[in-house]
Amino acid sequence: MNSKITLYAMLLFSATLFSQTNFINSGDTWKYLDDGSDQGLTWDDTGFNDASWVSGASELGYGDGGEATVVSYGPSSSNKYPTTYFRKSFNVADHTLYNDLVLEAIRDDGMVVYVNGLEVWKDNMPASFDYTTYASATVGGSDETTWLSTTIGSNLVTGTNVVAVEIHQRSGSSSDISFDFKLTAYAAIPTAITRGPYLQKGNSNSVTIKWRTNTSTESIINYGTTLGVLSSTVSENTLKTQHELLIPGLTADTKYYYEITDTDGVYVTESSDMYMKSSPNVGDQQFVRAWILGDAGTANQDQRDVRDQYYNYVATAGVSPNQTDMILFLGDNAYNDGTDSEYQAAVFDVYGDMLKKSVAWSTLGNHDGHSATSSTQTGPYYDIFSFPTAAECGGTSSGTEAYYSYDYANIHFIVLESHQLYNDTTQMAWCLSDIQATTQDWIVAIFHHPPYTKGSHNSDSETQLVAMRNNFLSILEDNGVDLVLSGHSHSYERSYFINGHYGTSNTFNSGTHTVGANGDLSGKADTGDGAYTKTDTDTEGAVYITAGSSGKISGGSLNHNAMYASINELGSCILEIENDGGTGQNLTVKFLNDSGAISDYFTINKTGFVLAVDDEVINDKSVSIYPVPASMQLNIKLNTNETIENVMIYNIIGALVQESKEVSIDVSKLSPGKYMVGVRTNKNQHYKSIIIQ
Amino acid sequence: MTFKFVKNIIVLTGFLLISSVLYAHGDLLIRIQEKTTEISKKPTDANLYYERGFLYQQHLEYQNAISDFNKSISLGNHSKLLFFRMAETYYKNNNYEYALDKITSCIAIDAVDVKSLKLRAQILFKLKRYQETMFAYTYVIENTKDIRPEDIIEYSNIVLTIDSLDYKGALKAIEVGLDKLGANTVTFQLKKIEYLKKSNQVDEVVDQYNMLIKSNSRNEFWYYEKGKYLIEVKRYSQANIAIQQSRLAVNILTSKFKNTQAIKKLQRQLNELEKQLNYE
Repeated sequence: MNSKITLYAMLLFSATLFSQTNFINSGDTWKYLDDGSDQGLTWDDTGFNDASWVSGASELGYGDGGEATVVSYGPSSSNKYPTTYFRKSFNVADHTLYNDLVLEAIRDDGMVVYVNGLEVWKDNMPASFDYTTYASATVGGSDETTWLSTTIGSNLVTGTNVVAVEIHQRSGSSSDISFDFKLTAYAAIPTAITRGPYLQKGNSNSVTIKWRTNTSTESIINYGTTLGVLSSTVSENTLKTQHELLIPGLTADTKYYYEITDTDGVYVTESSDMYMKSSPNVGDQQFVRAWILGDAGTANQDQRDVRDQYYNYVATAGVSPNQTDMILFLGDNAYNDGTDSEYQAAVFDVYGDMLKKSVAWSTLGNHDGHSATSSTQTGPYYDIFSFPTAAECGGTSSGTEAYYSYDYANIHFIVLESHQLYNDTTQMAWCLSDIQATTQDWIVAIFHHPPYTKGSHNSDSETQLVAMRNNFLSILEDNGVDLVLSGHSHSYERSYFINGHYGTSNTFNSGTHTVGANGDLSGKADTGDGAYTKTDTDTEGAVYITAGSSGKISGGSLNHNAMYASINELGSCILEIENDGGTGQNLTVKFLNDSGAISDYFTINKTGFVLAVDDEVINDKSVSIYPVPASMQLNIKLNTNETIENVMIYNIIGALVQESKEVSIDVSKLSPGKYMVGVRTNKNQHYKSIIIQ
Repeated sequence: MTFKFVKNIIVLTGFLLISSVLYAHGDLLIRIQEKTTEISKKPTDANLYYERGFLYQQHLEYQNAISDFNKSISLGNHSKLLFFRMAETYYKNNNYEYALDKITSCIAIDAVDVKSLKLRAQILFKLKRYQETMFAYTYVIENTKDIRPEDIIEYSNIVLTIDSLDYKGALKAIEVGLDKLGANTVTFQLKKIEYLKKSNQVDEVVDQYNMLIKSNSRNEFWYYEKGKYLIEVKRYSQANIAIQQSRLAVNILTSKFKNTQAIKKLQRQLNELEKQLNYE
């Protein structure tokens, strides 16, 4: 809505400043053809002879009762003509006065618009169509009278011009169609933003910024670490309305303010609350806050209430106020079908203030999947978001945006696709490889369909939920996952500190499936229960959260045995990781409801964040190899009464690169890297790892 | 008192049973009921039957889905999406001839939609019309902008189904994936190893493991896999080196990783491999 207001304000402004002419107005008379015929490919041309067509004033259509001209749908009310054609001619005295055209239309249901024979606007229609093709979706309610608009570069000519429009029914039995139209030509329409900006694919040295404009223009971002001094620029000169720019060369963990401009000037000005913050260096231990939104996309007041409570929370937070390092969308971000317009209403119009300064990540929900397909990575979800496919943000290359991973500070995030790929062995293989490659202190997994829930969905019986539990949980748990976030059920459910439960709710055993002395308690650090704990030796245990109530609540039995808390409240989750005052860290998750109360919280305390113990200490002590790292000379010392027979040095792939019988070896010719030294004595074979600098 | 207690238990059990049925399939059943109510108010609305049919399909009630789709057609809905969903439903219900008929109708409306063309290729494969499958799938692979790893893997599987010894063709498909999606895409690297093993290209398998070892900072699992394979192909001394490298890679892990179940299992597996080596 904000973007529309902005657009209209700009149009109003332009009317006084820029030359403009209204060539077609609402209520104008149009030629039309309503006989169900196939008009082929030339009916939209300027020279097409439409003398036999009849005329009528707009609004044209049938079925709603308010039409100025009622057109025919043919002889059968249950098999109405799919396509009705409209044409209108108008004269332009001097086409050089105009550079931009603003087209506005009421259409019910699908529409294709041509200006002088060129297709310039298609709405609610499939990519390929003919006169038998029906519209892609039903237009109903207020959408039937909503003026849609688009801006195009002018292709007017001096003399006669023609706008041709074909309106497509939704189905043969659909009750109505509607059509009205306006065309205004401008000398130049000022650029205005209609979506975003929003941040994607952040890492320690780059961030991607995306946005949408009302007219095709260049993509230019000025940025800098100080407001008023945005001295760095990234640009792309191709004219477009969908913009995506990667900002490279950033310093890790640094805030950069930015503005958006084109060759006519800045149209999104810098401000203290519009910035991109590069990720910390991978592995750094520091405070991190993530805002978690599940099934948020209702675009209603409930969603806004949940949002506002978080905004208030983060603005007044005792620790690191106004810091939101990332937004995690758990899927079903825009009801009911995840269409582009639904995303506008439920994501960009609601969270715009946060999206312009915090990188957003998401997993695909089933409602997003109504209009998006993971098998082709097509549809609004995949168009709107840009996720790493080649480990651009850490992790392992997945080759797809459907599932991916990234690192932020010392946290490894694994995002899985549970809607269509829940049984996909390729995703499983990737997941295993990815989690077994990370060296991060914390591991968080995200997918839409929860492995444990008794909310508005049931993890005991529903296909995707059972499959995710059976296919992925052992991979995650065996490799040290700490937290698993899902949505789908429209409530908040939070598990005990558990491990190894892959059955139904009634097979959960708090005695065997919870971890540690207090795994079957609340995990509240400020109570006698205490925080859940993980150490370098006790590495098991994870908390599972189903948090799908950021836009609506749907109840359910809410009695899953693995859950410590099951709450039918609107809200969002806040993940915070901070130092525990010693050498470890606390991971705390809070459920913030729509009244601003923390309805549940827990903490996992993790210690053992130490660098690798010296190989000498933990490995074979009977032989010493020094110095490590070495550059010139490597010395072998046996600590027993053994005698060296042979020393072999292998490179990282196991190839023998040097052999000696000496206790002091010249390694100056070896390339820098990791090596393994094999020492054969008269009694034993010893292996040690070394580094050559 | 006892009777009352038993009665309460029965009532409670009944309630739980009803609850479990009510929520057994999440909100799909509720949405189907809502759609049925809508249909009762607008019984000639073709879209409503389509929409309920899609809900039935998601609920795995394929016959009901097809029935609704046919009703939607009879009321004038001839959209591409309807035919696609029908084809998809027949396909899921293993009724491939019907599925082919419907996807053909769908493609007649939009001949370049890769999603439809991919489903057609999958249907043709089920019908064992392999040459047509290859032709169709090749088109999909070549023309899908955002191809995903699963498509390439499926394509390579089809190559091998048609000719179980055509590993050259299957590997070629994998190379296409690596070319399109990036040389480090782990899924393809794993599949490549699998095909190289099955076609007995031992040196190439070792090279492939080495590539994975070099491209990962943690590589204890890759060393293990390499060692296991080298034992299988009787390259025992090389296997021993790989096993030792895996052990050293484990040793330099921080304790929190070293104590995960996965690493503990790996250490047991390394012990087993060493036992095998000692027998050789």
